[in-house]
Amino acid sequence: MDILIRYGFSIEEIKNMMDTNDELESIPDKDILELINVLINIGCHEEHIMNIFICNPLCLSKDVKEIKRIIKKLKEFKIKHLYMVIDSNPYILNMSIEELDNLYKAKNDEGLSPEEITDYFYHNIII
Amino acid sequence: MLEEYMIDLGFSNQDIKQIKNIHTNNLYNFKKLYQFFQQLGFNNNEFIKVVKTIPNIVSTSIENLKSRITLLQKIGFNKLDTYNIIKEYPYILELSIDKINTKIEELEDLGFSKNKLINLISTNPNLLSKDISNTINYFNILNELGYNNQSIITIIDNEPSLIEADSKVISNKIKELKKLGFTNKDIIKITTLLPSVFLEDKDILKEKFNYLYEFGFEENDIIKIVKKVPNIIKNNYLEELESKIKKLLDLGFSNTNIINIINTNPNILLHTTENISDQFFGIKGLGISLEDTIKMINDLPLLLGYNLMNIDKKYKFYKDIDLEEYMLNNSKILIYNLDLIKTRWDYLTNNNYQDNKDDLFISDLDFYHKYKIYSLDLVKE
Repeated sequence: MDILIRYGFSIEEIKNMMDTNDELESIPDKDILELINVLINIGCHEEHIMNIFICNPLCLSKDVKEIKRIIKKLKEFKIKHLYMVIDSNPYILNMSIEELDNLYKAKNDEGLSPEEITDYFYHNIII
Repeated sequence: MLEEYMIDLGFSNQDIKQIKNIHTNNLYNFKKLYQFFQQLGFNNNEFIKVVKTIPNIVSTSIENLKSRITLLQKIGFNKLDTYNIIKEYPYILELSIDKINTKIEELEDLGFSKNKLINLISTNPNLLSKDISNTINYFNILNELGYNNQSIITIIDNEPSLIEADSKVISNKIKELKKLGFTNKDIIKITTLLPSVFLEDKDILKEKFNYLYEFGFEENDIIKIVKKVPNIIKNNYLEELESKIKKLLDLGFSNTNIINIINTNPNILLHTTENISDQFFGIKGLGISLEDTIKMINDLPLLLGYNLMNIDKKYKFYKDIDLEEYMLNNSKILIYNLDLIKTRWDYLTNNNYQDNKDDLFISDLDFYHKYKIYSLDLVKE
């Protein structure tokens, strides 16, 4: 967890993250760094990454390949500024591809157009 | 004399009578046997216990016993493992070599690696004499659920008593969970986190979440909570469940608020009670009244998770543009990314639309219909 300290998280914040995610201690720094790089690649700045990790420390336990699949799925939904959606809804990283597809389909069935569904992702709670 | 020797070792007269009645009177052989066990690491009491458990051993040849030790070492058990296994399950010394080999092969066929096998048998040495067709049965049941053999072996590693689980019990538990509305994937998530779920004969939701039921949550709520946040089923999170709810009550939330907050954002239940309290007072400490803090969190339960700096930055911005009151009454706007809001604000002020503050929070489509520009396109990354 040295990487989290180097990144700027306080001891208190790390402790809270460990309380919420009891696997955090055993996650290798290289995996955390890989996730940070994935988030940077979609436009996240330090403040967004800190918000995402503090709000949803469980995402650090997720396989980075799975996170990349989620990001790919959100791109398929034509979401341009992914960092905004994930910063607003950090728990979206806990969802499965199937859940995201089901959510998209549900909104489609409600009569929303693809543009309206994209808008939905920016402005609503998605857990 | 054999009897004197045995008494010196610590055998009681009754033990001696029992053993001597069945077996030989050969002091030399008995001494050899004792030395054999001494070499394995057994002390006198432990040796006595083995002989009392399997008196036949007194008439077993040392070569015969050595062949079993050699087999265990060939499998990969070290001296300490061997000592522990025999101590725990002396009957292993009576099992045929063929039987031990067959059992090892059966477990290897299921996918157990050498290390996992050693771990498993060290913890459950009696497995070597058991019929594992039941185990093979439930491997098949779990395969149908979606588990591969390696995942099953991992959960057995975490919950060794599972190896001897009755396949009917596992099958019934899966049926029970499906009846509650959990999909195969949900069940795999839950049982991977807490394999002992398979062994519990009580209604798992009623057992673990009884407090929530009593508080007013419906069964569907709890099912959704567990589906969304399967980690919640782990004992370390459940231990504090009651204190978390009580903390929210102490902070001023009503029962209805609490049910709403947790149903909207069940991840809150993973935070510690202290964390929830700190977050609440962190938000209040931004200069927001107690009543408004409660209202804001009820309207946007994500606030209990967000980084306080994130909330502070947004709050300061809305204060600067005279939207503090609006924010307090519509805390859902705090979900909006500040880059987008600032971009829209810059556009509105630069084009003399600064009175149209409500338009900061409309959809991008509606913004386009009104101003003929997609605000998301204006955001610089």
